[in-house]
Amino acid sequence: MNQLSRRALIRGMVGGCGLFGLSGWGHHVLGSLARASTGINRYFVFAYFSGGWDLLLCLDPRDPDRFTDEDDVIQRTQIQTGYSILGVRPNSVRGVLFGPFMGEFDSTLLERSAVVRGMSMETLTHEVGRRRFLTGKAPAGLQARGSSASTWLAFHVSRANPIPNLVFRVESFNADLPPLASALIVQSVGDLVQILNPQNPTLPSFHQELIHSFLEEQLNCPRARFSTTLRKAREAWERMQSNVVRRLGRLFDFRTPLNELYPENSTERRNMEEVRRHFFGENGAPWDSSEPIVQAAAVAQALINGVSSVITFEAARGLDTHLNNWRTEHGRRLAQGWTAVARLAKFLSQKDHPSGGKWLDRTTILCFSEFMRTPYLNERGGRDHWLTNACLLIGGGIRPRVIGASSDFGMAPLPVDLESGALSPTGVVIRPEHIIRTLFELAGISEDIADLRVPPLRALLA
Amino acid sequence: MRAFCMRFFWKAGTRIFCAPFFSTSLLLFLWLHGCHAQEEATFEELRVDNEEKIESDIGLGPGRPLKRLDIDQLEASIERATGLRWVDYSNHSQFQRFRSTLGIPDFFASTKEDLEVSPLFLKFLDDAARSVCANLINQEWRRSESERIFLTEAKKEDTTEQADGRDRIAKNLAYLIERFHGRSLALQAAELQSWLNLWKKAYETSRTNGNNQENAARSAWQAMCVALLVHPDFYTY
Repeated sequence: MNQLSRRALIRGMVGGCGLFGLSGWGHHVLGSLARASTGINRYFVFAYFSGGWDLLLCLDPRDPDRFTDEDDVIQRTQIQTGYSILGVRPNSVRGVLFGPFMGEFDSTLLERSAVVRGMSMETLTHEVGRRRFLTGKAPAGLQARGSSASTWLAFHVSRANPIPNLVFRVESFNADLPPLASALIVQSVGDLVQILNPQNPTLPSFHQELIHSFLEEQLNCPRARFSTTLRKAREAWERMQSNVVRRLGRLFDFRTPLNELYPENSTERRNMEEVRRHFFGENGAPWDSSEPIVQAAAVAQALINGVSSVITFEAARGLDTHLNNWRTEHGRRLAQGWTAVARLAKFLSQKDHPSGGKWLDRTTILCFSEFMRTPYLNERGGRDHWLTNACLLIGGGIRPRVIGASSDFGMAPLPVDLESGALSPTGVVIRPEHIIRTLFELAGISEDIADLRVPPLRALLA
Repeated sequence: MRAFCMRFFWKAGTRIFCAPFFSTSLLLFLWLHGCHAQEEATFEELRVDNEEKIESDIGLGPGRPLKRLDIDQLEASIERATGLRWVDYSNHSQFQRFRSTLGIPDFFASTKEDLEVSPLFLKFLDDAARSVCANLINQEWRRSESERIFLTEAKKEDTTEQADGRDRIAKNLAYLIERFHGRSLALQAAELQSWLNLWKKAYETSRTNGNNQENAARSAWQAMCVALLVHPDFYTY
């Protein structure tokens, strides 16, 4: 009766390992192992097109010769491209059509990109669509469930960076991970400069140091260590202090003359010169530091200067065009967003990474929006919300190709075989969680850490 | 029935606890957690610590976790404590200028304020504290004794070098802790002593850096003001 059976032995091992995993130490060790397996030098950029994009104008256009804007065609297909209204036509890149408002995102970049078409968002609500794409989980009502993909990735690949998870003008969620993975969310690049630079009036450094050690002492007392809020406060205080002391803000100051920011011949100065020239040309940076192009330049600076490895930015805004502003504004804003992404991708594709190769070989950029706009115009000349979506990925680890499609009747999502990427009636409809699982796979995380309950879209991987 | 129960528990017990791997893992788990807890504080220490400070530890009891002030509360609290607002050169509130970055909901894109103590929040608080405290100390130094709101117990020329000066500084610090943190401390309280030590160090370093007695005291009070505002007791409840 007291003999050790094989079943009891296995049960003991499983139970022991379970407890070990549940303990903070186990979590830490497993986390370290996961990080070790991911290796260093993987970067992720999320480019969010805010408001719901018109896919007929960018990632999922139709042949204007077949899909004319004539009434009988619109009735038969439930698709009204609107190309004749706007006086534009899609472009063909190696036999694949792309919309007319891709800005500077030209054929050289498109040939390196993977486009996933015919995705399903299962919502017509901005918050729900956005939060689903950010977290890979359908929100509960409007409330996001779980952490953003960027938060998970920051925890696994960007922990050593001064700002592990940097976000411009987009929401970010952290429900599962330690506070160090939480995003630093800013509304403009100017705000980031303000946050990272010491402001006037400054205290004498000796007093600053005294206050710093006093607070550290106060936040180290036993009662503070038993309070989650105070533990977070201590960690946040240390992070804030180190960023300010290092004067990281000057990396994002695109308007101050260079000689006021950096000494001659410093690497930081050369990087900044290069970034300013590439993103802003002769005109210099725009005054409004929340503009997509300024954000894209800040993303480049944050990456190449080792500030962050996981960055989210708002590539375009004001795309929610229900009225005739669809005709006047949507295409322009869309093109502005694609231009921002294109300049970032081109910059990274030209810039040498210190460990060899180019920066873009190690960086994956995901461009997404909450959903697409209706494939037909409403009575006010605009487009409303539609359930279907698409996204574009470019960079390291991504196999350039088009996966999936929306139907030629009402642009509905179509099922795809996840392994081959081909349309298949027995396949599954691609959702944001498939894309996020694929990004985790790229980061070397093969487990379903975020409990997304879908496999990765392997057809996307190089 | 009794025999059945005993047999059941004995069987279950031996099956589970006889597995050496489980026992090893359990011991390892308990040992690690034991070490971890010992590093921070024993429960006994914590109990004593809480009992000592039970009267002054608002929000640190077992009832609920500490909460951070939201930005509107913080702005109002700074104004209440110092009589001043954090403003730019055109007298506009800096907190309102950065409201979206600070996460104040606009009830269009966001409806809930993130109340996490983030590096971003602390950076703005630190900026606000330095700006407000510089102005406050300037004003205090110009005010008559009866008009002062910050230096009510101590005199401008008091230093810790004189016994009565030290007592007045301690009294003033106790008053400030009550004013800024809502906690009343006895003059002999260990916590007050750590604030007094901070004042002393701030004064001494200022003297070492070439300031005369009055300027060093002024600089020390300014540092105290900043420390009071960036202290978690100010922004949590």
